[in-house]
Amino acid sequence: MATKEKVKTDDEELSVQAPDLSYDLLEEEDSEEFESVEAPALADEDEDRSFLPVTKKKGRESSSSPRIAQRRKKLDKGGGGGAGLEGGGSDVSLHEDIAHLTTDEDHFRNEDGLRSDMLISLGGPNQSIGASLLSTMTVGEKPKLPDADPETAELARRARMNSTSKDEREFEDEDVHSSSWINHHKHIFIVSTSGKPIYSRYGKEEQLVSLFGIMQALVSFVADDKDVLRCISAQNLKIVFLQKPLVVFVAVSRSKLSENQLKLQLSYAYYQIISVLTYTQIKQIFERSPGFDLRYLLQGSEKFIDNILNITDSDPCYLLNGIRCLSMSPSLRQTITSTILQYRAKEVLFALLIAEDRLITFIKPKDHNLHPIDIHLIFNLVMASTSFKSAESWTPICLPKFNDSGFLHAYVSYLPENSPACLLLFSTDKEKFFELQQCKERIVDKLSKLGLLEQISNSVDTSDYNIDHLQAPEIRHFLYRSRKSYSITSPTMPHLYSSEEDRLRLFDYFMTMNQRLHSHAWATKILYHIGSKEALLGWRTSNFDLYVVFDPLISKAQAILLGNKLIRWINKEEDRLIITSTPTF
Amino acid sequence: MAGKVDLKVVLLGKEYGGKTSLVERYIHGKFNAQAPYQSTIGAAFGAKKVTVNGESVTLGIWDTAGSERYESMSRIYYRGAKSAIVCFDLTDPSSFERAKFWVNELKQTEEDCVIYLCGTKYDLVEDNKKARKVDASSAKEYADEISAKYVETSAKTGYNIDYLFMMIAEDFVNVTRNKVQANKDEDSSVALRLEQPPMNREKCKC
Ligand SMILES: Nc1nc2c(ncn2[C@@H]2O[C@H](COP(=O)(O)OP(=O)(O)OP(=O)(O)O)[C@@H](O)[C@H]2O)c(=O)[nH]1
Ligand SMILES: [Mg+2]
Repeated sequence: MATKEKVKTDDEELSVQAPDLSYDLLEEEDSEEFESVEAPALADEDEDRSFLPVTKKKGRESSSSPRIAQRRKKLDKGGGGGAGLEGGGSDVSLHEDIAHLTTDEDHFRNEDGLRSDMLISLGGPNQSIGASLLSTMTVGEKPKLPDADPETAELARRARMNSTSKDEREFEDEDVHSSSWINHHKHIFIVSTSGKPIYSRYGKEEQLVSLFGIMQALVSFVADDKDVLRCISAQNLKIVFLQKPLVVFVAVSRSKLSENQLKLQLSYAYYQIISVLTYTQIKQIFERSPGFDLRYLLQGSEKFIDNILNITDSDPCYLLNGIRCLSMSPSLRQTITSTILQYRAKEVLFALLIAEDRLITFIKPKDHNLHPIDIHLIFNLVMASTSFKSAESWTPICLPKFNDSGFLHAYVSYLPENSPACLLLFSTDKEKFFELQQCKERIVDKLSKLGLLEQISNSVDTSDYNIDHLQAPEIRHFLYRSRKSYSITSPTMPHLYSSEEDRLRLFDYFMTMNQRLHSHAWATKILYHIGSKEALLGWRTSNFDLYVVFDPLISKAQAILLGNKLIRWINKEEDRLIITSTPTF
Repeated sequence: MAGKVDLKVVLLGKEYGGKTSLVERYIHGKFNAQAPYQSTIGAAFGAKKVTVNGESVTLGIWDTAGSERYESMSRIYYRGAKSAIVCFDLTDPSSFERAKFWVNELKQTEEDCVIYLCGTKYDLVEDNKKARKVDASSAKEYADEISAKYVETSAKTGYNIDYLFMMIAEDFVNVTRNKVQANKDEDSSVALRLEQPPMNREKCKC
């Protein structure tokens, strides 16, 4: 869908002769932690605009320097404990003071109340930073917050106070001192580089001011030494920092996601904000008044950030960089697409037909692309608000991967007859509402004449599929991603995985396999993992990524056999399962 | 719904002020108190045909989002509007301040736009004087000051909703008719002037 990719024809048949494959077959124990390695396929690359000095990531090399020892010594002196730095070897438990200071209010205490095994990874080669970072932290002062721009602060305060009610946010009123708050699986915080709270996934930002201040202090402290703070690990807790110009995104996670995957998730939050405000606007605002309270402008948009974080936490497509497609008859999809193409008004830049978070079809100009992230933001816009259901809308939206400096204007309208399908037409011209409205009328008229409106609704209702006919009950589930079109398909989740816990375990498995298959360091093409509850096969070729979940008692040879069978079936059904080509004009 | 719009009407006002509910009630005749509040994204468009003195008028109604972040883009929606319903929530004094902001904005950029000041959620203050945070007399006073009409409405009960839009349509028809009439008169006077000396102009006074 987005970038062009050379399609090489690989040998897309798994060999049954296991010995041939043994060199890239990795077997793992269930308990084994997957290690975090270098960037996945879609690591965020836009660091060029960072106002902070960007140093190339050298995690491992940098920490193998002889100065580590020196740093450890300093640490020992400073607090009696010490920090094991990434790749540095021995784990020395961290001193209590440091733990306290990291969070000031013990927000991130582990279950046992102790913080040990803390790892701090920095982006750059700076050596003395760890020590000085930790020694400042032991000072025990609350970091001083920069003075707020009184005018904007007042505006925002009033806006907030006067809000009789806002869109309801589930966790907005949660007590930040409660154990339920502390124990959230994944906290996300957004703070401006001057320390102004922008967003907290749980709880009111006002109550977390000192915590936000500490985050900002940590980041700027490291930046002072021309280095970049990337990640702090403490036992089962990862604190990942994503630094964008003027805004810092922080994830505090107990999940198995790797640093890079957490960064990608944070990037989604970043792009969501850009989508609402544009990069240019944020830049202008903060350059004019660094103390600006961005919440003033994000009011009403928090639900989009909440929603994108919730989806990226549970739907693997988002972090796997692919678009879930609605499975439907190829001829129906074809007719819809050509109808949209035929009646496209010249003002239309992109047109998408979606059903919730599944893409039915889309068209685009030859010389422009729609990045999966932009499509995901469009899904998020439509899903997080029911207000599109009641009327046609005309709304500015920035698609950051397409152009983060300006808005496109989207005509959003569900198809008639209570259709679950939503049509979006994008234009660069804010004055073209009526042109796009007419364009939609023409498309709808045609579809209705062809009797397709009902067929589209039916397809949405029946798009879920299973693979019973393959007569391979050992295959429980799979996820297939075409590397050509960035399309994803997977069957309905079986009953075995109806519990949240089971689904999240699969989610974690997919993420770890993806990490492995796409890491530069490992360059693994095939991955086989036997867990206590299921066996998993991960398979990457130049054409696709495939993740298959098997019954745990299956043999490796059998899994390979079934993997081949599955891929043959997918290839045969590809036109129905996914969008194989993008029509352009 | 596509088709010619005779009269562009825009709704402006603070978020949560009741604009979407007002339009929903008017166009679809419904109000759902149970549905959770959904802030409008950008703006929603709706059309409705009404008949004024046997003349059919299509209203194109723009229900804008009250969120501040759209403020800089709001011109897209109110540009060229012939009528504006500036809404405030009778139970929320800050929304009245916000309404004043919109009035000023309109006065500066859309001189020809006729403004209707609308206090919403009347049902909440009807029996409960304490809930009312903006009293009718000061709202009316302000409306007079800006030569706008003042209405209090309830999307919940439907109170004054049809009345409001009907008034807008009538005012429009009357104004346009007057204008057309005025134009005709002007034309004829010009014509007269061409043919005759300008002394014979009593006609205009009738
Ligand atoms: N009791 C009562 N509640 C109302 C009335 N009108 C609106 N509400 C409620 O007020 C809340 C906000 O109404 P909306 O119509 O969505 O407000 P809005 O002005 O469109 O808000 P934005 O789209 O954010 O600008 C909703 O919860 C409505 O149910 C009314 O006449 N009576
Ligand atoms: Mg609204």
